[in-house]
Amino acid sequence: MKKTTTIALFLILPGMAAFLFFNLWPIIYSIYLAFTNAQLGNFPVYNPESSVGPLRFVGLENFRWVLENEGFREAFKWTWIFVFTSVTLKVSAGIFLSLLYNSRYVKGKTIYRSLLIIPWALPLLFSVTVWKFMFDPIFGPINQLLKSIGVSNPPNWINDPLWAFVALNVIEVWLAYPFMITVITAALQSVPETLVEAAIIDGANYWQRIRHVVLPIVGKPIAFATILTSAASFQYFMVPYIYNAGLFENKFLLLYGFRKAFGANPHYGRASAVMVIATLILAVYMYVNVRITKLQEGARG
Amino acid sequence: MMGRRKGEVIKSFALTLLAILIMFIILFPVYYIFTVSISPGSTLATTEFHLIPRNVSLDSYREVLFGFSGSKLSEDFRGTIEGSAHLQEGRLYVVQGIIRGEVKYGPFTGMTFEVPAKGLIFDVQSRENAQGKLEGKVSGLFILTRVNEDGTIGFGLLRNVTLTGGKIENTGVSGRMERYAVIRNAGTVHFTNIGKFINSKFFGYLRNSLFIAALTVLLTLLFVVPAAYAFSRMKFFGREHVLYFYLMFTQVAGGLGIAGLIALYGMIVRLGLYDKLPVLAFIYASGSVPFNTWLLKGYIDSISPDFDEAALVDGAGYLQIIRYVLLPMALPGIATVAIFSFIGGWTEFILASLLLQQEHQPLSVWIYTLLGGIGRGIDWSYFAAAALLFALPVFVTFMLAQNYIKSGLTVGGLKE
Repeated sequence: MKKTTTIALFLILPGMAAFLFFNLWPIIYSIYLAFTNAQLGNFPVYNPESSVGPLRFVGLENFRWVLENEGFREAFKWTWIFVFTSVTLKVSAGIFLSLLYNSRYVKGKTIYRSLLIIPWALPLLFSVTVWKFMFDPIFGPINQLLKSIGVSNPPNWINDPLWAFVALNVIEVWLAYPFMITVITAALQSVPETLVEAAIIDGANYWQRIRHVVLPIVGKPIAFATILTSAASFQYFMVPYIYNAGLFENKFLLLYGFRKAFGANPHYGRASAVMVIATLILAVYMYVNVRITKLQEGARG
Repeated sequence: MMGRRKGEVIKSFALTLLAILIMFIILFPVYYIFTVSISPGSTLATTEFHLIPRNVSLDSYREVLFGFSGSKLSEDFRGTIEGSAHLQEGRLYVVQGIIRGEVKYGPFTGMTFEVPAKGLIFDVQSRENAQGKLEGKVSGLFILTRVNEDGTIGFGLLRNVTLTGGKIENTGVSGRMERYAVIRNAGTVHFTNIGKFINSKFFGYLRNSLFIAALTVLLTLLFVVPAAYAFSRMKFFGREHVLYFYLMFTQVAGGLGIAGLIALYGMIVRLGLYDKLPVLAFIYASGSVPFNTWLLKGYIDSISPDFDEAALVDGAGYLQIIRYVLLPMALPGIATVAIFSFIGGWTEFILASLLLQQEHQPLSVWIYTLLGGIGRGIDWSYFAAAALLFALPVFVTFMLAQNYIKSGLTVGGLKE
């Protein structure tokens, strides 16, 4: 072995070893668990007094159970619905806000932009609890506002499945817009001023300029941000978990898997199978997206 | 021409107004929770919401920061005893009296208490018999487990009490107290603010949070800085493969993290590492190795190799180059990594709630638990104050470093 290779190995080893042991190994171990009957009583430690037998290999039984399970199908469906709704909202909100806060008619843009970054600077746990306050059916300001403008029976944003889903979308837009604004603003600022001026001279109106001059240039960064943010939507876990874990149990794949493992009736094998399937779907989704939009170069930055 | 200019002005005015309005709507939730935290707890449920709170009170913050937690406190004290007593066959019987004590050392320095002394017996080296007024100095151990709402001691103990320089009707007495004195719903105790803070529930969690976050930062730097240097400056076998693998991993890290949770939980329990604080820091630090390595590698890449070479020509060794050239120049990058890992260790709560018993849980888990208790003994303003205090360090560090963070994130295009 060359001397530099030895030294380099020595330098990257601490991080690498920790990463392999605490991150990669659990993931591989999860895949193994998905093929076993791991459940309360035989996992993490075998308890001979429980009715379940010791940990053993059960083949594809967990996967069969998961795919036939009503809750999983529900979660699968709603996860994709959420990806669709939230990504649409996030991208449109991002584009709208970036255009507004980059408009030359708006005075004091830098102040607004630095204030608008605030949601990014707050811990997720904090932000979601803030929104739980906002959406509280009785004391929350949103329902108080609705009541004051004459809605006699405002929705229950926390416990009603449909309205809580709407609330989750609002929260996700709020959490993600700083990222979208940052990416899109950077892209907008890379549009050459001369091109826009040339279009104005040619008599193009605002929408024509956006459509034919700005979008072709900023399209790629926006597509890139869209893919990343849709992957984040697919992996949505923390927000529904904090907001109302019980209600969303059957609505988000990762939450569904988590509750199968750490909820009322733990079955670690089935939970791992859910996680493995979710991860595979995500991997395929990302791969296809990256291929379609030819963003490999972008991803490498 | 004038008409056009006027149009521009109106447009500018309208759009600026719209921009400000939208900004207020977006930031309103954060402002709202702030107003909740400074409004008196009981009023929230009954009164309507006001944009500017009517009566501001810092009670919630006081309650969070200084509220007595009920945890066990045991400190050495010094003080005085006075009262009526009688001395008989080498034993001093205190009939009625008061012990005043003050804690002289440690985090509770300055805390004072006043407890009734009734039916206490001291073994004293005296053959005389006497009766009358007792005065003297005492020292010993003060144990407090509960304080009532009105400031009286709910339950406390005095142990290992020694009487020195005591006098009863001109007869000198000194000696040790037999057994211990129980204080139940009597006497008073006064904390200093520092003492109250250290005794609060908040501080208990804060200590765990700080420990986890600090260790996470330390371990992250240990894992990431040497590796980033190697990836950036050295050519070696397998470099591209590892880098590519790290990059792919960062894209799906969130989902995979949750996916690996089940196995991680099993692993930790089997290895006997359940309820051990440092383990969490190891998990957080290693989980962020791919992302942080990329971030810092990118930063070191942006430092021109000419600097290294110039130093090399000047006869500096590898270690000297790292110490005197690269480290100072890469400091902003290292700071960004440190801030990220601090925020990560400070805010994570799922693993912490799975792997730690209540006594060792950090602030984040406490906030999550409190959230479930709103309306059942926890009022909103108390929760809001606690949540804001939890968010504050993250907010401050992020705002201070936001330019580094933004450029690091968008240039690498790595993370949402």
